[in-house]
Amino acid sequence: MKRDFETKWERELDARLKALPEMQAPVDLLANVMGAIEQRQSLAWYRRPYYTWSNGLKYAGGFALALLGAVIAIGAYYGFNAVSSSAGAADAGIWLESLFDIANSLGRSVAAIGRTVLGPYALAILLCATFVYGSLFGTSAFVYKVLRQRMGGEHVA
Amino acid sequence: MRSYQNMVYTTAYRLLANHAEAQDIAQEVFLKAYDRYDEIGGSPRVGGWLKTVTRNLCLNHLTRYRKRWRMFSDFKREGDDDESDYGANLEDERAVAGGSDDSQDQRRLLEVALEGLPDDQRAAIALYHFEDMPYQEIANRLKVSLSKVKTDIMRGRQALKARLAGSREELGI
Repeated sequence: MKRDFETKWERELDARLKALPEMQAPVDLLANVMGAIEQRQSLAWYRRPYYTWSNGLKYAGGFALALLGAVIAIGAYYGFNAVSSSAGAADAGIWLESLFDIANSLGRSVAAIGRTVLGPYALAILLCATFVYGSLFGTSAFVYKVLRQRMGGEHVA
Repeated sequence: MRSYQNMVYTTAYRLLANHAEAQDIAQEVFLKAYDRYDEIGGSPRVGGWLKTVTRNLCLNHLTRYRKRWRMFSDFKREGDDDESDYGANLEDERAVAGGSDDSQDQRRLLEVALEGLPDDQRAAIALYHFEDMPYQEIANRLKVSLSKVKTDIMRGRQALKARLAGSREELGI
């Protein structure tokens, strides 16, 4: 690939970097690779990476996955239809409604306890502190992003 | 494997500048090659395949893992600790400079200067000069903006020039 360098130094650096000799790989690299291969050989076929499976296994695996997907899709379709047309759906709606009621009354109870124990002023201060904390968190995240961009964008590594 | 181990290791080391990580990547590359031996075993393009896989694994490593622990060091002034590392490496170089010829010394100094660059500058320079990647592709692969790649390469070159000039003076070569 042809390079258009703007300065003499760029051209010189390119030539000098390309002229650097290869480094010596560690002496134990080969032994480590052989050890890892032996360790992998001892694994059962289903624990080895997918791309190392034989073609027959790959096709069988793909077919099994497709079959499983189809079964789940058909099951979900018929299951949803059966549930939505049954009396069970109405029961589920009632059950969800009562769950919301419980959450609502729990929130009211907490607010009432807060008013009683802390008093309205203390509760207001607590709410204010929560608001300020949330705002500062948002502001600091914003400042962090701006500074980060100004310092040269996202770091590579 | 013996014929290619230096090439794979060198490619990984120049992108990562870390011996342990480069060795891990090299090991992973050869394991992948072993798994695909039927496809690439006798191919004349095996060298290219190994180099591409090495480069891809290194880029994944750089973008995926190092970003996590560097998140909180973004505000660090550029080159803060790199300068001290570089100084220490230069001391080592000074110790061995007497026994070899000038061109060898200069090559070694260039290697050390390259290792001392911040990760983002070194990776961009390695991809541009060693791998002949265009700016836009480097930006895409490193998931950063084009302007950042250009800035990193420019700053990296300037830093290398300054460091090499300083080293030559200090070593008297």
